[in-house]
Amino acid sequence: MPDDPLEARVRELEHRLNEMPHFSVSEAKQRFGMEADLGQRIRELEIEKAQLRLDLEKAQFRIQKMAQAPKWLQPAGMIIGLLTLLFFMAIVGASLFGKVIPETGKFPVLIVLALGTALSASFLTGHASVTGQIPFFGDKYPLAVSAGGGFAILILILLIGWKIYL
Amino acid sequence: MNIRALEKQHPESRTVLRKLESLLQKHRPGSVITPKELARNIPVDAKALSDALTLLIEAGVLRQVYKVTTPSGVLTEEDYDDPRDIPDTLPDVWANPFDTAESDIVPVFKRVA
Repeated sequence: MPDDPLEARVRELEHRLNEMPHFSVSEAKQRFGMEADLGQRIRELEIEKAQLRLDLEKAQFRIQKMAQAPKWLQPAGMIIGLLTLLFFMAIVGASLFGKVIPETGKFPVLIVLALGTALSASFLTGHASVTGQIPFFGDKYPLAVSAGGGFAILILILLIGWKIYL
Repeated sequence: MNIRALEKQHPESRTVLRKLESLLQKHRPGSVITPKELARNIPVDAKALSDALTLLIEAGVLRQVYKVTTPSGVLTEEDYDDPRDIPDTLPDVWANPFDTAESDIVPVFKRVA
């Protein structure tokens, strides 16, 4: 897996900061009277360090922000799951009154079931992996887990539905 | 000497001097400007920024003084014109004394007038 460019940037900035010289008080006391431009050199060095620290903070903040789950992810998963459930409860309700799904309507019903379940599972899994509730793969590639899981459920339900329902 | 006169004498530093002037207007005389604040507000090359600060210091607009980084990473309250004036121990933010010898020295800038 290629290295994340943002994480690589953070490591590069940390490395550059660690490599920069530090002026301790004792060193400054020893050299201040002897080197006329020491004040200017310390000034330039500390400004460069401050700029690097600022870049580092920005890169770390972007990583943190990317790792946060969008607020709509969990409610969207729940709403889609609920709508799918209501749809099938309505079908069950209708069947109690003698209304059955015609042969031509079975495939669209299967599609609704597969898509509803896949989207709901995808959003909920995505939220769980981004918030760190799914260990191993989820903490590293949360969106891949979310998309992969959703697609797998879609195919699985379509195959099972095709076999036993159509 | 005002900053406009400096800009005329050093046209290569005009942009940085303008940015520094606008930052200085937010500060009262005697208040401290840290390298962190400079980096956040004036995103230019460190050398160019340092050169412009040199011009302001030489013109008497700013004064460079020194603070010490405490063990917790914040700067000391006290500042010193000369690093040789820094005492061997200083109080940190919780008023506990710490040894300054190996602590980092940080230049900060004070608006003179």
